[in-house]
Amino acid sequence: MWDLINKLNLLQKTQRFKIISTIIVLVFAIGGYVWLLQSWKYHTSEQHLIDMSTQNIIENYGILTDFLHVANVQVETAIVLSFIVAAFIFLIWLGVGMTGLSVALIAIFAFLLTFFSRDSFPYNAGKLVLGFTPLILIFATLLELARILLSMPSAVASIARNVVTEAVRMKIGLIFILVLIAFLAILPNFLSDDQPLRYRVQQWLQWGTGLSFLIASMFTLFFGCASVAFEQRDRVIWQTMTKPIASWKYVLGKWIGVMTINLVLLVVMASGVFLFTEYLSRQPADGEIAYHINQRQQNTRDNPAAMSIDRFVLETQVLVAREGVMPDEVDFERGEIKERLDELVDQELVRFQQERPDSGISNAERNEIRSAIIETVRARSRALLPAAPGSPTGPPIPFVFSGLADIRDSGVTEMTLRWRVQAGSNDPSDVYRFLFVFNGESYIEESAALDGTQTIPLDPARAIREDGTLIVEIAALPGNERTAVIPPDGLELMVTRGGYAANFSRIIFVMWVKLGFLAAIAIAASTIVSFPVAVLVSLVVWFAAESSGFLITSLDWFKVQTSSGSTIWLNTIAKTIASPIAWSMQEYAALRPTEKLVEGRLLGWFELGRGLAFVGAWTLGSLLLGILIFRKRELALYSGK
Amino acid sequence: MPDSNSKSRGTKDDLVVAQRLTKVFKDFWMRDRARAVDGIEFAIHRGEIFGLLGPNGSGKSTTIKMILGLLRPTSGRLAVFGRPATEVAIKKRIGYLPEESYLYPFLNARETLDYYGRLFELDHRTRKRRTEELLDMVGLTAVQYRQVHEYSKGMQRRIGIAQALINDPEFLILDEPTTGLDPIGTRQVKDLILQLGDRGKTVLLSSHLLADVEDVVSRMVILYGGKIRAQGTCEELLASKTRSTIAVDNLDEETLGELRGVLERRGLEVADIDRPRQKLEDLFVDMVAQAKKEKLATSGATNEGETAAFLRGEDAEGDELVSELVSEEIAPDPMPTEDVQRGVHDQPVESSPLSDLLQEKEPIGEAVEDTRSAEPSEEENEEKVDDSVIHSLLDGSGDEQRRKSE
Repeated sequence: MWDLINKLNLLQKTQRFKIISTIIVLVFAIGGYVWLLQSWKYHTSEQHLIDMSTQNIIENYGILTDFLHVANVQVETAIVLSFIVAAFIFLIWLGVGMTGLSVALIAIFAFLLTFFSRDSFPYNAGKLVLGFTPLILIFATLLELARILLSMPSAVASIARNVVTEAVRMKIGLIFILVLIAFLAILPNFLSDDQPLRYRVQQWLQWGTGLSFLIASMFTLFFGCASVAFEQRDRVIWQTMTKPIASWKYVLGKWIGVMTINLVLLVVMASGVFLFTEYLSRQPADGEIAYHINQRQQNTRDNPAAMSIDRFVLETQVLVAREGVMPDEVDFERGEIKERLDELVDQELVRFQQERPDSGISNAERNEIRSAIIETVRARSRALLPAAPGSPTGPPIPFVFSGLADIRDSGVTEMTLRWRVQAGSNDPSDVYRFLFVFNGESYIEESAALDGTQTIPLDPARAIREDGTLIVEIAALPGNERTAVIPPDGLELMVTRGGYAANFSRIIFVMWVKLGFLAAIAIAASTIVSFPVAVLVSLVVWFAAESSGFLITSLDWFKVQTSSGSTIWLNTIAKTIASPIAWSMQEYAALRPTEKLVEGRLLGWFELGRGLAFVGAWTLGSLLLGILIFRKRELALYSGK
Repeated sequence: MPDSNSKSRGTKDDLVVAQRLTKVFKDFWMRDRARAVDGIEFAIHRGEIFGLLGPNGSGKSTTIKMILGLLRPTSGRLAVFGRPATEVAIKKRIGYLPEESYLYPFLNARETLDYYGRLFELDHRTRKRRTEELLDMVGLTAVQYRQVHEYSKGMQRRIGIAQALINDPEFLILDEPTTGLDPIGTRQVKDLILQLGDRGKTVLLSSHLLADVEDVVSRMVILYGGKIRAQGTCEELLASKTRSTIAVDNLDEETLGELRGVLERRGLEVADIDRPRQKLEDLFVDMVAQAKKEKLATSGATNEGETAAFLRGEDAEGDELVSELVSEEIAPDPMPTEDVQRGVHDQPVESSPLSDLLQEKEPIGEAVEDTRSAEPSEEENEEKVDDSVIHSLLDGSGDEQRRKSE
């Protein structure tokens, strides 16, 4: 069986096969089109026009429409046919003509199976196979394209090309690739039709990109380590490095190879996610009888006011690229606020001194007291106290959004206030009510379940003041049992800044950049240690990088001194090591591609560039470290068995 | 030839120069663990076939790995092509076959050769031609699309040999090249080494199969415990200074008695009188050649190929064509097909003694089969037997002496 497949694979790469196949495709395409022209002949013939002119005007209108329609279809068919033929010829000359044909035949067979009754075995099997086929075809095509692009007679390209071959022929790479494709093909079957469409799309984006990226990351780490470490373990590297290959060429070749296969995987993933999102978004939303047709049979495409909520949220908050603006933070280091804070700190210190007259106060303790006061003030500035009996609302808390002038002037029409409150243990059955007052002029009453994100649509032209600010005051309405708190990330103004497709492309690029860093770490680690240790090191670095945001916050609270002022050495050493790592990795952690995609957030060029610079620097540093180690290594001394 | 016993000071004819070369392996705490190579000094001259002999653990492989830059000397000096062994540029001129075939298991034979060809940045056309010639030479053309991990050890060895030759190296390093090969493959490798040596290539051969080394090397070093115990040419090291042998046709008792008498009168004693035996390798090679002539089927490597044209010096197709045309102009008599195939432009028109020998020893290939298809005359047979017996009588190493004498 494998022999036959191998022979067919070789056959489809021969010049003779390519020429003959191209001729066959062209003959079929031209023949088919001529046959179609024949069948349309009467509709576009002079006779038809003569017949038309001899009949009355009403009939003429119908015939004219028919004439124009057929003429139009002819052009459209020719264009579509040309694209299909061009695609086929491209596949043939790429050397995957037979693969493409086989996949197309399987897809047609699977499509026929979907005519069986819903939920029958053939129907489900057909649906599943249909999910696989485009992904397999895209993967095979891109893989071949990558191999051709890496065919230049250069040592770096040769090593990279070999890595690409290794990825699809060795179990350690192939397993991850198959899992990724299978996952993307199967996942759509788990989306429940009962959910609102916006949640289905979000769920698909979340799992489709998030888990795919996770699989791709694991692939990069494991395969990157294996590709270098196994080569040393099995001594294959002896034969490679006794050829005229400089260390940097070897390491770079390996990295480019891993990145090429990553690019192929990401494009497969992106194609799958994007195409299915497009399909999904064209399904009827809640409150629609068909795509963009509401229950009153109105077409809502250009009429947002007539859209169902589900459709509106999907198109304005999910499949968009929005920028988030957070309310201004209180600056504790300036002006009156600083003076007041210093007073509070002094008062607290005096109280502390009175309690412990015999012991002095260390700087660390002083800083701790200051931090505690700041946190208390911050928490209070986000606390929405319940309304006192007889009072219409609780005390209002103001939030100021500034620097919005450019949004108002840019003519953006969609802006949303996202908000979320927490109280006690966030009992899901509790519903809290609040009053929102905008610029002291207009207000709206809102109610929400605890810890669930809510939105309020705003018109930028009306909501943003002349000075570019928007002041939102929030107060609890009667009925709230406890004090509600708006968490630090619980209030945000979202402004539409661009389209979903362009943002999606940038997000995929960020994923590739992040995978580049992981590949560099894996390769650098495996230049010196054996496979299991290299994987362990890479995983640790990966987790540290992904969680550096959390790590920075944790380190702020990490005690390095006892209450009596003596140093805790272990903690000091840990903090000294962890702090610079966490700090330097924070840009990596801040790039959260999946989160941005699911929340419809913009990944701007500036953010992209900054992330690229930081992650790129880390990648380059890791690769240089790998090269340095590799140059110093005596390859025949490796004992990683 | 330079003085073989001289210490290595390094001349322009020296391709490898080792001076007080030492390698000490250390443990994790940087304490000395093993002194694998201990102050050895030798030089490999350009164009010679140099043998590195010694039992397991004598330092042969460590020396080779230092020459290849896979290990760094602890002390001493090592120069390859007059440059440090770790320099990348010199590796363009080196071919290396490790003691085991360390190949990418996921590539097939063709892809393997193509990959290594790419590492030398050979252009597509050269890679393709060399790959095909090498596959043919090592007899793997029929199984070239099978992945290497499916190959037997011997087949992997063959592809290993082919990859070592893809760049048509000036300096070929073969570490135990005949390990895992059948006698035909072994003979083929030895013939190849001789042929490369004939083309002026330098070969470093490491082996503990002494008969293999003896058959091909012109000079050798014998290592034990990381130190050189002996070095010199085969003649210097192997020729017996206390015994002589005479090879003649079968002697009757009377003649033998007279001969004994003559020798005793001169105070010489006859130590042994024996009938010479054919070498097992020759017998095996002849039997396989006979089986192939009878077209018996096999599913393994085929041993069909002759040495790749580019290794015989027939690298440029254009040159070959010009050469053929020129030959036709100069010599109105048509050249024998066999000679044309072997590259007339690099060889003298008269076949050299070595190429005669190669043809005679060649167990496979059309030219050889053609030669062998005709029954040799009785005289020829006798001449061959006599020759072999005389060499055996000389020192028991017929092939080596035959090569030297020719």
